[in-house]
Amino acid sequence: MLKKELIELCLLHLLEAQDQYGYEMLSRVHTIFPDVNESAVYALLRGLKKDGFAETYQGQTSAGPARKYYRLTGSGKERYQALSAQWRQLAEAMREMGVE
Amino acid sequence: MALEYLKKLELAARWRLPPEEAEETAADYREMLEERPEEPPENRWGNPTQAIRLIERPSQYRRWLAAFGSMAVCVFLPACWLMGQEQRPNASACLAVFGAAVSLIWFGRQGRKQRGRPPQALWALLILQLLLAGLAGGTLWLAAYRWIDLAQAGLLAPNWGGRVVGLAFALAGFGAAALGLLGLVLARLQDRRWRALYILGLTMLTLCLLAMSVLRSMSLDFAAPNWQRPYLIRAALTALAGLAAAGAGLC
Repeated sequence: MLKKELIELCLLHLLEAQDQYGYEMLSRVHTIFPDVNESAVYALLRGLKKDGFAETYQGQTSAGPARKYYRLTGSGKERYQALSAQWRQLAEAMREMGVE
Repeated sequence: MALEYLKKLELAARWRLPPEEAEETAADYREMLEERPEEPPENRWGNPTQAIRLIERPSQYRRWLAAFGSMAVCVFLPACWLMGQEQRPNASACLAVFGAAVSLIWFGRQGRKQRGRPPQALWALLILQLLLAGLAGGTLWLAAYRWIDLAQAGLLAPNWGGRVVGLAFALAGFGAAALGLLGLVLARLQDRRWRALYILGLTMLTLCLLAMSVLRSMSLDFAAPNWQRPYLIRAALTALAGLAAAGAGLC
C-alpha cells in the first residue's frame, strides 16, 4: 500500500463519518502527513471527485459565504471498503513480522 | 505576493486543465488562501505549475498540446515560407483551412467563453491585422499603378518598387503570424473568441503568400489580357471565407 493510497484512505475515512468541508479535510490530513505538500493532498481529493468516489455541493454556513462540501458516493463507499481491507491486511502482516 | 501566486496558479490551471476544472481549482485555492492568509502560498503548495501538474490528467493535457501544436504549425510554416521567399500558396491555403477547422471545433467543445461582448483588445488587434493587410495591399496598388508617376516626379527610386512591396508583405505576414499565435494562446487562457484573431491571421498569411507567388512568378501567361482575374477571384474568395470563419470564431 503506497502513501498515496494511505492518504486516500484517510480522506475516504473522514468522508465516511460525515460530509466534510474541503479545507478542513486538507488541514486534518496534512497534520497527519506533514511532509506531504498540501497541494498533493488537494490533488488526491480532486482525484476522488474525478473518479466518482466523492461529490461536492455548496453547504450553507451560519456566517460567511457558502462553502464547498464533499460527500461520499456509492462507489466511494466501495473504494473505502477495499482500501480498508488492504490496510487491515497490511497491518496484520506487519504485526506478524513483529513490527509494532 | 499571495495574489501574484494565485494569478500564476490560475494561468497554469487555464493552460493545463479543461476550462471547468481550471475555474474550480482556482476557486478552491482562493478559498484555501482565505482560510489561512498568513502563511506564504509558496511554502504551502510549492510552485504554482507544480501544484497544477499534480491535478492534471497527462492524457488530457497531451491532447491539448497536440491540438495546440497542430494549430501553431499552421501559422508557423506559412510564416517561414513567406520569410524564406518560398511560393506555396496552395499548401498555405490547405493549412489555413485545417487550422481554422481545428480551432473552431476544439474551442467550440473545450473553450471558455466569458459573458458579454468580446474583449476590446480583441477588436483592436483584429483592426490592426486588417490595417496591416491594407498596408500591404495599398503598397501593391501603388507599385502597380502609381510607381512610375512617383518615380518620374522624383519622389521615389524607380527600382525600389519590388523591394518595398516585398517588405510590406513580409511585414503584414509576420504581423499576421505573431497576432495569430497570440490569439491562439489567449483563446486558451482567456476567452475562446480570441480564436477569431488566429483565423484572421491564417487568412492574411494565405493572402500574402498568394500575392507573393504571383509577384515572383516567371509564368509567361501573365502577358495575356486580364491575366490577373483568376488570382483576384481566388484572393477575394479566400478573404471572404477567412472573414466568415473569423466571424464564426467570434461566436
